[in-house]
Amino acid sequence: MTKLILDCDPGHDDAVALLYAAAHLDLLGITTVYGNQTLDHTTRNALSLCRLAGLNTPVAQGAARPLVAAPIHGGAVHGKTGIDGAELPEPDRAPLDIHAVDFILRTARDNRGELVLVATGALTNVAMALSLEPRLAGWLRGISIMGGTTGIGNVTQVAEFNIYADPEAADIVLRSGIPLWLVGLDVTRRVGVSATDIAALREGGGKVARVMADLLDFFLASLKRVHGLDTASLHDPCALVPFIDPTLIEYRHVPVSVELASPLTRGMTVCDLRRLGTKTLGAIRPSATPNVQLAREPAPGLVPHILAAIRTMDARVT
Amino acid sequence: MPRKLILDVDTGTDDAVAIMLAALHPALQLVAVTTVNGNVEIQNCTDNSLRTLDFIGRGDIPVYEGVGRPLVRADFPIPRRLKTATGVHVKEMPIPPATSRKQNKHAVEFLIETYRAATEEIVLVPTGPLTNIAAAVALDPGFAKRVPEIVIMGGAHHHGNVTPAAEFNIWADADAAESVLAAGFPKLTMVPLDATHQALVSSDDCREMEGFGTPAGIAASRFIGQRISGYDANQPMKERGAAPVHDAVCVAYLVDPAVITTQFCHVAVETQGKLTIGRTVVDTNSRGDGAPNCHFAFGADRRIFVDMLLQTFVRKAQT
Repeated sequence: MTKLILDCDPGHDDAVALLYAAAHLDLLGITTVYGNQTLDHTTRNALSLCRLAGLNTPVAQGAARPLVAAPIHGGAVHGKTGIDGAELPEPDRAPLDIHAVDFILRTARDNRGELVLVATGALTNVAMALSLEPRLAGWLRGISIMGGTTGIGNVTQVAEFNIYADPEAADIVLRSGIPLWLVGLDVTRRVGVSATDIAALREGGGKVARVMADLLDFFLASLKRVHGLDTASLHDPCALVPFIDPTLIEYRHVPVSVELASPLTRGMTVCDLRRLGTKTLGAIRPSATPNVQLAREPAPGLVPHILAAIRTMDARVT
Repeated sequence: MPRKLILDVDTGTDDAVAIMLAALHPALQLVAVTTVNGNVEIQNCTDNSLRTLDFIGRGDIPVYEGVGRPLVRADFPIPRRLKTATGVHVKEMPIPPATSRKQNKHAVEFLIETYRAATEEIVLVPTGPLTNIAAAVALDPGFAKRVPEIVIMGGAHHHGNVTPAAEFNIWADADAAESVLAAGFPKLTMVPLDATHQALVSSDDCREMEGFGTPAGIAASRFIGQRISGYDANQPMKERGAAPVHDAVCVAYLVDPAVITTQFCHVAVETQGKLTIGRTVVDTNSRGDGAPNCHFAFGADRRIFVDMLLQTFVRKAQT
């Protein structure tokens, strides 16, 4: 079973990702980062979700702000707590007394060649870990990220929240040489649950299913209000797909970099989707070496597969 | 009454097809051709435009030469020897030399004067870098308001061609493009790669056009054939043996709006990005604070487009 650390900022869709990971993978730890709300909220939410799902997974608190950029958070979509919309249990423990970056480094060193990171928030923790310990790149089996977009943006015209929140950190991770998977907004927007799906999840479900249904109802209402969507996008669970069942998303190996220089396109993931011949001519700038398995198409079975994991965790608790 | 238009081109194999479609389609009246630095050097753009018009018997349409360099950026024109031979474009179109001559007036002067004097609608269709148009906007503050409709070939949302983020025409003079998008044209339509890559013309279509035996059929077959071998070798499309003919899609749109599907939104051009210079920043999700200024085409109907080319090029010129 794949060993995993989930680096997240719960967050409604992070909450689903947490359950999806726990249902299928060997979740060695959860590290938290600011993002969908402040670090205090996201850490508290991770601990509450663990209690809800009966998980004793270690939780380590990470970065409270980006490496360089001015802090932003996603309160408009995720509410005051970061996971508004449901009654969650109070945390029954404190986070570990080591920093998320130390936890990532220690766990990666102890599980060389086996550990994967799945990052569903800003990449600040991951970039800091890579900067503090360059050997980390050789220790990790891979990093899978929810972030970026090839077209539509959700913070600016062209930038997605997680990458825009800390573009310098994203740049460090994209240049790391570690095998990378990236699923962007252009794909996760097509992995959504409808009001009917949510009602079905609640129907006949136990405590975990009911709480998740409440969370998804709130998230759907937010996404409808802010972005005009009819389904609640399950952005973050998509980042787990490479290690749970890679056939659920089609990937393409392409060069991806992030724009840092200009305000208009800052935080845009520049994905080279051109298909160039071996000999390019004229003004055409050649492609860089592919560094990312970029998600292109979600399979129809992905949403049911994620919802089934919520029911699995529900059954484990009840 | 045919629709009047002016084509601003950097001819260019696809520009040449656009010229022929505009000059020969009975629903259109091509008032003039203006040329700009782009696919090839300006004097070749002008010569290729003249050749194309002469070859199809429309040497009566005047050609005005425009600006030979981008407004601001210094790293373009690139060494042009790279843009010949086995590429998508050729320095000299493979048809006989022109007998007509270019007009003495500068293209930008012609554009400004024509729109000042116009009593009927003339659509402006730039299919190269937007240098001439930005120059007209800069020289004549009233220019944009006097052009009732502008249809631009350029830009890309989902993937670029010259860089991962940008399309050639916009990238080649990004400052000019930003100036044009911000100029306040009453109706601005943009036909980007997202649309033109859906309207491919195939080798079979070329054979059919050649079989017409008309000058336009023969020329279109040669020009598009050059494009297909260039694309197959250097930028293969999903379908081999087929190529986009970007610029002609703009002209087709004037005849039948159904050839493209558009979204009305705000579009700006990135002029400062390190990786993104020349990108059309399309606000599809209303994230920015700019009011909609552009009908941006995300789709094109291949069948309508190809049928229009075939039905037009089978005809002989009627001057």
